[in-house]
Amino acid sequence: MSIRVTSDPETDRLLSLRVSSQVPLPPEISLADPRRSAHFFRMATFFDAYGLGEHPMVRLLKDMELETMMSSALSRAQHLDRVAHYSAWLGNSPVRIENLAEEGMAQRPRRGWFPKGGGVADAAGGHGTPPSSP
Amino acid sequence: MSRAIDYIKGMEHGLIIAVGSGKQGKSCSLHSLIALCWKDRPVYMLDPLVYDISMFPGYHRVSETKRIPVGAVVVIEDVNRIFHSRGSSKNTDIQGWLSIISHKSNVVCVTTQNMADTDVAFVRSQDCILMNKYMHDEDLMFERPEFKLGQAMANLWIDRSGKAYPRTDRRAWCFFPRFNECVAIPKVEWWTYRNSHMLRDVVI
Repeated sequence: MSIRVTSDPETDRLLSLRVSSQVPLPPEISLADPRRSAHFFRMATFFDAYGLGEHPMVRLLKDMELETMMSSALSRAQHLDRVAHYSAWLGNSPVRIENLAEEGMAQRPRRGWFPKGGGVADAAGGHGTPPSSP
Repeated sequence: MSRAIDYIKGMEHGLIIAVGSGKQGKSCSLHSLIALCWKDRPVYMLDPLVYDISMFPGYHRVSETKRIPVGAVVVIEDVNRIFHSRGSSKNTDIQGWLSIISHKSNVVCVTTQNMADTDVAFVRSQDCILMNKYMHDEDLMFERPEFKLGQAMANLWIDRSGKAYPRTDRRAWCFFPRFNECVAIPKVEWWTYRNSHMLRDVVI
């Protein structure tokens, strides 16, 4: 069985923070309800058996099914904590830094800034710059 | 200008909760935010303890919610002193009051050291904006799970912002999880050591 995950710079950043123990993510991370996963893999096996697994329409269908599974898993999340973690993983909005305390700084918002060397993540063994998407 | 500050400026009613460990600049940032956003609104400190309110220029002190006028900004310092952390289960005063602040156009601003010490009634009924200050790791371990991630992110970004702008006091930085913003709020000019230790001489 293979697992597909969608990634982006923000997710990579959070993952690298997790590696450097900056953000306490929970140990249980599951992307879909197991019952729906079984249905998904049955469908995939059916198309693969007829040699249609890589057909563009079938791939589109699989992607749609995967997105439905993930979103329904989110909607049934029992703990707000998990929802917060999921949204942090899946979200793609960078943190804005606004310095209103120093004159002239307010007009210079810095988006998704990472320290160059000696930063927090660097000190903890993580990445000083955001890793690129795989 | 920041999205968070713009939004807060436009709030007619709602709650702002400054949360973070002791002496991380919660009160200073909260009062500075009030001065920055609502220059013309009356500001009332809600506190049963008696202290010299003149250290807060233009402020009034009340001990009961019924004395708060329409349109006022209400500040409650260390909210769990006044409304206990699980108090709404025994006393419905908070719920009764908070449910009508939208009718009375009141903004309630509170400081607390941990959301676990704060009654959840404060975040259940109205437009509530969290303003995270730095929280020590040991305190973070006892934070409510719903707020833990936001606080962890706040610690991280306050650290980073402090390094990005070394000339800015680290305690000026506030993280607004709803807006995904880390904002340094300029300290209001009248803030002194006395303001940050306002209850030093009060016997409780």
